Amino acid sequence: MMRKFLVLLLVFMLTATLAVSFSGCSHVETISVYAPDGGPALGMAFLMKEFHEIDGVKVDYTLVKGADEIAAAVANGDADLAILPTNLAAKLYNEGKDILFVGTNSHGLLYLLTTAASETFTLEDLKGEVLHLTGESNTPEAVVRKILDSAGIVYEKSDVPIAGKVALKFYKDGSGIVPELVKGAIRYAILGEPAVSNVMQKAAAAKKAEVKIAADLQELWRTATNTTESYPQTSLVVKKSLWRSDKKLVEKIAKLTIDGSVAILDDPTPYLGYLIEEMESTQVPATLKLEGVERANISPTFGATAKAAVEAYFNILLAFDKDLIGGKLPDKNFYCGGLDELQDYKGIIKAFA
Amino acid sequence: MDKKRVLYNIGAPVLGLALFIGIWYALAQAIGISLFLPTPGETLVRFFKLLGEKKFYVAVGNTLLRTILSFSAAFLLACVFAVLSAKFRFFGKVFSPFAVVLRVLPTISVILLVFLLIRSRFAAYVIIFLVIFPMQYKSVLDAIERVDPLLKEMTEAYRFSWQKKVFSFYIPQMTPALLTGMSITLSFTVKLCVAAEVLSYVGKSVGRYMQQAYASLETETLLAWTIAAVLLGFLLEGLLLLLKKMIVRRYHGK
Repeated sequence: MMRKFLVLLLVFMLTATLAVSFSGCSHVETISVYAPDGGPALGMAFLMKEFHEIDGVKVDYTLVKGADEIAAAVANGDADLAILPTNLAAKLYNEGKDILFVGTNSHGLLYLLTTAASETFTLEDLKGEVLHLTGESNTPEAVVRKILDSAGIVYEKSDVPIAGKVALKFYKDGSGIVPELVKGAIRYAILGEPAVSNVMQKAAAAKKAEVKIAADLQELWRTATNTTESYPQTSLVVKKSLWRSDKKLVEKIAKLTIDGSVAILDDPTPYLGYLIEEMESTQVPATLKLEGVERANISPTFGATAKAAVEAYFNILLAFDKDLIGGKLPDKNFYCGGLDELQDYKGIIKAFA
Repeated sequence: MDKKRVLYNIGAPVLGLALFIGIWYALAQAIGISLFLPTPGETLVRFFKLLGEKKFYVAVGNTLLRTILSFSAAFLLACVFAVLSAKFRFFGKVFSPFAVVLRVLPTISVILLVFLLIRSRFAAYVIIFLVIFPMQYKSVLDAIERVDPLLKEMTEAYRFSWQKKVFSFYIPQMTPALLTGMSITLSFTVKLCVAAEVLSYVGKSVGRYMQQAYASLETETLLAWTIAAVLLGFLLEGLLLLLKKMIVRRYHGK
């Protein structure tokens, strides 16, 4: 009886050991990469077009409508890797979601557009005007409020102009602002690329109003925060389990995002075509030109540089509106660590052409 | 066909269509920016250009398939529930609050609630099903209840087998009313399907391409896709009416 029990125990222990060892070295067969449509998707266009398999792992790419949808995909575990607003990454992490920050994807793509005739622009011009924008309780609102606060300009949420103040009128998305700008029905608005390019082209075609860029919000942010860096608007995050099981794969994808940023700036046509035709992007117009892609500031950064910039950004947001990052700074475990060797990597094109 | 009938059956709808196109043209001219409202001519040119693109057929095919699948699922389940409700009165009473709530629930509430729970391409199917099912249920139940009670008694008196009752009595009696209801619901399903595709961001669909055109302010493309959706609705409605005519002719000899 005792012998039988010992044999059974031995078999059980062997099975358990084997199961644990196999699960420890298991490699994934397919991963899902999610990106929100529009500017952030530009940073993934190269990968989407060229890399459907990386080191034997099948890669499925999904474009989603916006921040809400990407948050849902990350929160419910559908996304193994995702591009999302950096503050949203912190918020989800602070809510206990299973993600890690890998690196920054873009450094701001917001621009202040105007239909006003004046050739010069200062923030003082916004007083007594309605500023039309998207991104309530998100990066655009935080950036605009920080810029206005630093310039000592008072603002208020309102649909109508207020004497001596800037009235902030929020829209759910840019599609409500674009026709108004084209008609010349509004004077000041904030949009992100590629909507900026689209609205300027459409306005030129309609000949009702001239829409021009009055200010680069990234520049205004640098002035407002007294820094040399723009804000890390979107970032790449990874599911903790994928980072643990296949760190090398994540590192390779991170490196490829740098190659992708070089490739799309070298010749955007094939990648934009792929985004529009194959990924059926609704936010990237077929008429987008190189200068529009440049204005999206796709410049992936990893390692200690990215971590320092993100921490500085979170500190500003924390002092400003802690809810934007989920009430507190994410702890050190939020950052996946490593990837320092990518800090000086500038990317190559030819190897992937 | 005499002249009067030709004028009535063909001339009047053509006049209506001409008036519609005339109003559209006048509005487009008054606005004067084709980015906001292109002329019917510009829209038709874009529509015919779309007809030459492979993606058009893929998208229309997917939307058609989605419409038919959701509609059929809703119809089959509605038949099951309606038959159960007609046969077992207690079941009908228990189920009636569900049917009523689903029927009066605003479509936008159904859409938003489904998006809270499901964020995938299946959301479109669920939305269509939830909106169409109560309409179909009511239509089938009404058709069952409108069956001639005297004829019903006759089938009982002559002890018809259940197969004979269903195929020789109930189906011929119910079909005309059912198909009329279905043809209206089916064109509504096309509209609902496109809306659900837009909101749930379903790829390779009429809704997705409509949204692409809308976001880029390509209004003539948006209207060209709208024409495709309208034609799809007409086609399905027409096919059902044709089916109704065939069935009525077969069973009732009219």
